[in-house]
Amino acid sequence: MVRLLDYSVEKEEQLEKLEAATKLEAKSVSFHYGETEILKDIHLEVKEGEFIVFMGPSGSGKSTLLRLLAGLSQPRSGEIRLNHQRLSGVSEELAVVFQDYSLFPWLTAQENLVLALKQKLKKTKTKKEIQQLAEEYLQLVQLGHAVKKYPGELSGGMRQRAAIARALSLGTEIILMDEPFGALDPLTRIQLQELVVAINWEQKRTIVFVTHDAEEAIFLADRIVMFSPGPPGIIVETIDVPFSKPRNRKQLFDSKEYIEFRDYLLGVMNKGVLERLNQSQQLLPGEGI
Amino acid sequence: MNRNYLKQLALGGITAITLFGLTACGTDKNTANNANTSGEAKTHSLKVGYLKANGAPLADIAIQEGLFEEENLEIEMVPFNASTDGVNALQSKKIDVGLTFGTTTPLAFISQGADLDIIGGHMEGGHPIYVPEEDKEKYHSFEDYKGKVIGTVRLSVPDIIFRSALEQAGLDLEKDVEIIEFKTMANLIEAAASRKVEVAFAGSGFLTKALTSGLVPETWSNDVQPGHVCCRAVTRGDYSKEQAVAYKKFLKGLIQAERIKLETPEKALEASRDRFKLDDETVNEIVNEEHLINSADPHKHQVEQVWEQMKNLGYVESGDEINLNEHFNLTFYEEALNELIEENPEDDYYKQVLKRYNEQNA
Amino acid sequence: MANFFKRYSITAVIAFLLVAAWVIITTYSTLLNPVIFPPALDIVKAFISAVGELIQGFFSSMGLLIPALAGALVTGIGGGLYFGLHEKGRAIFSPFFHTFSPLPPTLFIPYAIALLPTFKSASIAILFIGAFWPIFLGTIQGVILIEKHYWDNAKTIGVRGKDFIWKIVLPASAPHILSGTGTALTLSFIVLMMAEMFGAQSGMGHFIVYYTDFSQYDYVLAGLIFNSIIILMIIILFEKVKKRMLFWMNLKSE
Repeated sequence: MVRLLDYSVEKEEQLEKLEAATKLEAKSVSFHYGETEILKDIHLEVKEGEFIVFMGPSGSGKSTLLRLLAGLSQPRSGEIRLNHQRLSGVSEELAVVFQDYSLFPWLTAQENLVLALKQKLKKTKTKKEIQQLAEEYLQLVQLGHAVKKYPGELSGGMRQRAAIARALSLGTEIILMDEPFGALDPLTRIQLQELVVAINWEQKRTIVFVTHDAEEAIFLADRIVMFSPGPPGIIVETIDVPFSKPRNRKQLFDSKEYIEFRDYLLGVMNKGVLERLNQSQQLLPGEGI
Repeated sequence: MNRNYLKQLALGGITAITLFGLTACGTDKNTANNANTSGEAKTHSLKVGYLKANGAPLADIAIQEGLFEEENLEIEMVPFNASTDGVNALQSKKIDVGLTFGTTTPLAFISQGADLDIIGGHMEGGHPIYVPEEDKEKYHSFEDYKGKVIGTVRLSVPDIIFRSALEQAGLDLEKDVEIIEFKTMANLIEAAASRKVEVAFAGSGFLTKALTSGLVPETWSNDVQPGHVCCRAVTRGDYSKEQAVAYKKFLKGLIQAERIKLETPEKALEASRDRFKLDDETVNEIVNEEHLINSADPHKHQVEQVWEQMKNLGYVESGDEINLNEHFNLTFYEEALNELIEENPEDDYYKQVLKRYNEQNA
Repeated sequence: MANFFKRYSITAVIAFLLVAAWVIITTYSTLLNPVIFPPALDIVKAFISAVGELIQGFFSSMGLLIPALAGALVTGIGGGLYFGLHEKGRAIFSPFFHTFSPLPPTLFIPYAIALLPTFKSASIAILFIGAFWPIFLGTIQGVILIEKHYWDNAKTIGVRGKDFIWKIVLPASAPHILSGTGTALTLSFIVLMMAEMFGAQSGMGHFIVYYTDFSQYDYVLAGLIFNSIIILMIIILFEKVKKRMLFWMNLKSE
């Protein structure tokens, strides 16, 4: 896997020198959508090589924070720092996998990758080499048979594989993933979870991953960032996952510790949800009739 | 369009060849010209605009009989559906002569300050008033139209002639009749055919259609205002020396065509057959209907009368600031006629034409 | 093919009934004015006698339509992309777009004749004006309505320049561009009547307007039938092209 990417090998060497350096940072970030405060006073540090999962119910602002980290939106106050530099727009050092729209439907899987690769490698590689590279990345995610297929012809799982292949091919140290498996069936989901874990583990890519599924979060994450139900969303707690990697899914899920940890996690999340419900009931007395 | 393009190509080619010919052996030709007044070596060309609905019978005859060729005059006929488009094209120098854009449209443009000159004529008379056959006996004079629903095409020649006649008969156009205006003559005939109007101030060229729809001509514009003008030949006020020669040649062709049509009307049908692409009966009706007179004479007096009538009807508002006299240029017609008389000293016909000219324009 | 017949069988029956009604009413009744409601047989005769002129008209109209539509596509899509992508420019110019787009192309006839060198070019200009607006406005709308997803996606992979236009903006706005083009196509057959009102000796619009002026409705209707057939064929062809270009909207996963 690693052999494919000369440049990622170089980065790996750097990584060893600056172990656990802070790659991506949110400093007292807040964000508004119109009048509504979506995120409030967010502090966050993403360390190099880390697999960090944002977890929380819908509307908690976790996807919004991911957009801010990706440079797709700008915070109203505070700042995002990438490699200690203030981030003011999208950066070439970040790759993003969206829930279900990372691929342009009018381009084949290969063309989608080529389009992304071309932007970086236009000057150094020929068209043919870029096409070759795109094909290799698709093979890497077991899509060798579908290089010429359009997204519309692929299943949801295959589309996400292609999207991951595209993110990988960009060779960035950080990959941001916004509920990438939210629309997939359980089996496909498991397969793709294994894939991203391998990417994080074997290729040493830093991954920021959004989900509202506790099981997924525990299996993937080194650290889980819990969001309160918004608006405004705030970070309630950041929890280290107490299981060492590499993890064996079956063993992990059968263990008592896992069940305890999951209950704890759900407890934190539900507490927020319940508080929120009570709040709105207090605010609207008698309106339930 | 292909044909037009070819025409242009051919025209360009011919001019180029002639120009070349002139530089090569110009002097010889010039001496030849001095000896023979009728033939000039130089080719002139004119773009002549006409209204598709009116055709251009005199020009068609002249083309068919080779009258323009004799004068080394190249004619390109440019069709229009609307006379305003035609006059606009004339003003913007896209055509050189407007032949069948009527009298009223050029006069309306002149009243707005357009620099246009009337240099000759093309058609006089020929417009009927249609009424349903069953009502024919009701009408004896214009006073009988009182209280009727009358259809007309605003600013057309019959509109002006017949409205003026109504006023002269003492009718108030606002109160005594209900006038409904139509966009085209065809629409008006259809409205009359379906009895939506009781009286139609119609134009020439629809007799058979009208008769099939149970309409009959009650009277003709010639009977109401004898010799009234219809289409006038119009040019821009500014023209080059070359064009002056071409205009003269053009009118010369029209004057001769007028005679041919008078003597052998069949030739008019033949000449215009391709122009109209309609059945012979209809074409004949358009070019040879007996009330319709083709004459190349400018007929200044009648143009002046139509001008006055337009002013009375309120169609021309700034009419008093315009000196209509400045918008006649009769020299081309005079020159053309004089040349014809010189060339045919024995022929009495052209002397008659000159006499008519003097009566109608002096 | 069988599918085709199945799908259009009801359409064909309706068309047949319309023709039958026309034949019966015009042939066996004196209810209607024979000039504007000529018997069906007269229309057939007119069609046969004018078929040469109609075909010639088809070619001369295409000689106007094709350059006009080509010009409208290039400038309409080009301009539409520019104003779709530049919000500031759009804000400044949109009052002009709103003022000029609804004007009937007839209004421009004198200006086209005055400003352009030949009558043919003036006719093309009139057709161009008619076809330009739907394509131009369709493109602007198409660009404005591009899903935010596509923008985000394009931004994250840093697509710029030619690729940005050709691989992202154009395909993403293609549905609206093509629907504008469809409107332009149908509209241009109406505008053809205006564009062939001067200088044209033949043409699909010329034919209709010309015979209307003489109240020759058997010819007018023959021309209308001919034009309808042509328009129908062109629209069917266009729908095919459109479907092919938007193939990605109707794909099914295996």
